[in-house]
Amino acid sequence: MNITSKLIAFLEKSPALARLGGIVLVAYILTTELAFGWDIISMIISTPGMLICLSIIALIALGSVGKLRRALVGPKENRGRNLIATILMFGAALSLIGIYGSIAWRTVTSFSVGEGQPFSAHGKPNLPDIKFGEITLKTEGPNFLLSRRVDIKASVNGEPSKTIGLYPPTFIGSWRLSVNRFGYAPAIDWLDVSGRPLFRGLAMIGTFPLSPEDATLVDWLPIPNVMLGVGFYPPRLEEMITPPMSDYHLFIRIISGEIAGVKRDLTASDAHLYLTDGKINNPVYFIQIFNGRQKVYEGEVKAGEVAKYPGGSISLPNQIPPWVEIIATRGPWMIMFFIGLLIMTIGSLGAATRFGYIRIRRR
Amino acid sequence: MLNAYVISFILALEGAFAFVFASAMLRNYRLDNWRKTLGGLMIAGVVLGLLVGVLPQWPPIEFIRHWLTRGRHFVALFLISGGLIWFGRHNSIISDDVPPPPPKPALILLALIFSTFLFPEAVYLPSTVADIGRLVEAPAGASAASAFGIIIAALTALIFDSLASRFRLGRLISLPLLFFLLLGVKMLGFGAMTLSLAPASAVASQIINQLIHDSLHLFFVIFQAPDHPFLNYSIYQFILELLNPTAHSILAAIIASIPIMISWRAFQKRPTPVFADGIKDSEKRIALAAFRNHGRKVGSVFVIAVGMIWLSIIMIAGLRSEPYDPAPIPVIAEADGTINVSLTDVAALEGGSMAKYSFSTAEEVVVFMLVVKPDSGLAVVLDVCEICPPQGYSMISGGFLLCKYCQTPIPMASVGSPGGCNPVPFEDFAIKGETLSLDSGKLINLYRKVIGGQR
Repeated sequence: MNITSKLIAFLEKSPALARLGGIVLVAYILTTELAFGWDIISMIISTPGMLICLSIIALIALGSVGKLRRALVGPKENRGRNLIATILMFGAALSLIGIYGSIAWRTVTSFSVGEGQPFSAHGKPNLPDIKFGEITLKTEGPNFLLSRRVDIKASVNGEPSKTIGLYPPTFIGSWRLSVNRFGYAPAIDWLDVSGRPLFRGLAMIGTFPLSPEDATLVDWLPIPNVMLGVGFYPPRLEEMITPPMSDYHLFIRIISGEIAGVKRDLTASDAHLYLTDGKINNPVYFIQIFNGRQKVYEGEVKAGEVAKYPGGSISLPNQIPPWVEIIATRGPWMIMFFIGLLIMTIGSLGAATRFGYIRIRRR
Repeated sequence: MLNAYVISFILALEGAFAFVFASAMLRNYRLDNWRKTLGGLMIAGVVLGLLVGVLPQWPPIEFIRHWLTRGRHFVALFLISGGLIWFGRHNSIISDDVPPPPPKPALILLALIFSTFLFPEAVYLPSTVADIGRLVEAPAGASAASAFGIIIAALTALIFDSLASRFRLGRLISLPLLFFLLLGVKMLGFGAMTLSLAPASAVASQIINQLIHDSLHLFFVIFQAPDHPFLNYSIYQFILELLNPTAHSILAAIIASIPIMISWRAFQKRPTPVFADGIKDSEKRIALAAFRNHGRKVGSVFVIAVGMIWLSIIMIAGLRSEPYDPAPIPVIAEADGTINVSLTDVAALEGGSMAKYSFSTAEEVVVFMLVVKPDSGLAVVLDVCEICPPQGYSMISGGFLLCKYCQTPIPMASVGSPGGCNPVPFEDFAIKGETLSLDSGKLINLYRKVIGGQR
């Protein structure tokens, strides 16, 4: 038996070996689950899991080559069937490698941006500099999957702007970008007694680091239990800001504001129902200022007002621009998955047509 | 006393049924030596299990117990594998001919299965009987009742075996069908249930539950799908349905039935009798009728195998108790900040149990759990994880904690490990005699760090 015939024999056996590989994969998943209680991602990306998965995919791909050979040189009456099998198996291999690669090998990063903010993609190859535009919030989904809209405009090299939303992700360069969560970033101007800024700029609420000790200074609002899952919604409406090298702490809470023209109590437990109706205008803030653990100021501050206390002053804005956290992933895997899916769809249509044709001919 | 008898009888009866099925098939093959071997191996497994069960606590023994708890459901896995490997191998159709014997590897796998079939349960039997003995203040009587139960079950096995022989049950049980009948017995797991252990069906449901949860998570990650609150109500409801335990039970039953259906299909495709020239039509008709009749009878045994799987799953779904979620026991710190928890009550808990404690400060209430893992190791964990809002955990059957927020089952064996859906471990504790001590300051710091990190 020469090497060519051995190779052909192996190609012929590949689909059966792939099925065996599937059984091995199931056995491996059950074994690791029973013995170690691993989650499915750990199972799949572990070395044995990777070897099994990649072997199955390779065998399916080789099987498609075997079927193609049969379609080309095999009996004429089976050519159609073998050609369809080639298409289906090739599509399946491509989809599966797309899914596996997406789990194990894709590059993932995230960054937060505010309205009108330029973004320089240092260290992210093929991600161009982006000028971000307006953020849109709506309690109405852009497609059948979503119940809310959180979009941000993004313009690259002066080209017409694209919209990055919650789903589906938007292609920019070789990256797929989608909004993961949003929040609020009031422009705070906090000065000490001598007029030097303690904090000046947009404060992205919900992103500041907080020591356990500082967290005990105030009573936080309970986190609303909104549906199931690991939640980034609703966005936080309160924050503790501690300037670097300072004993001062500023606690800020947005307690009310106008959303889509309606005055809303944002401390209410159902506030999450209308947070995506629009942006918050004319807000009222509740602030507390601490020097160490000593409270030096507490009060409600309306938008545009300046609150003064013995140690300084603080002014808060009329409008609260939202910010979004964007997830960016890179890799050819999802494209491969969708191309594979498309090929399989074509193969399935071919199979259905062939089946129908044969039935009609038999009649 | 009656309890000791009933528990032992039911446990042994599980083995008895397994033996009757195997014996019937092997008798059909005229493999009497293998019948005796399998019976002997099962008895040896039980005796060895009882011995391990009565041995005092000693690290190697504890190690064996630990791995038995984790690994006892591998028997079910072996059975499915056996059924799948030899799925097309069915007995010759009718007649009194001796069919070609099962392959040696199949017999060796059967030997392995029979030696471990009741071994894990037997390990847990002595402690259960001893507990009953203590309760009725007659340890010797409880042991005697237990032994009597086992003997009666063994006698029952002999009676059924003789009936099976008389009615030639073996002609209906092919090699793959035997694997699936044994799987059905194991899935029903009456023996395990009498010992308060989870039967294979409960574990199958839990595995499906975890795999579906993980797959959903994986789907969201791969497709960059947004968080649940951003999804449409109907999509979200669909996801909730996917996480419904009843759906998981049905799926587990379907998945466990698939190998049996594959084997059944292979049986249905067996070749019809071929007749030599010169055979009378009437004889052909009789032979074909016998062929079809035999097919129906074997089909009914397949139905029994599938029925056992579904019955086990329905039974488990019906028996699914409310999650155990005890009210936390309040604890206070000593002057030096140490919280002392008495282990007297906890020590009485069996492996796979938990107790909750609450420590209150002026600002917050920290709830922590003491978990006795299946290997009897202790873990102290916060009643929160790093991911979900702090709604805490309850305990469900099958040796799992359940996250009350996202409904993820967490294997008890993995409690104490950090990360993911596991409750956040607190490792800085010490055990002195019957007291577990932990530093209240470190506990609060850890709690605040976790809660702060979730903001």
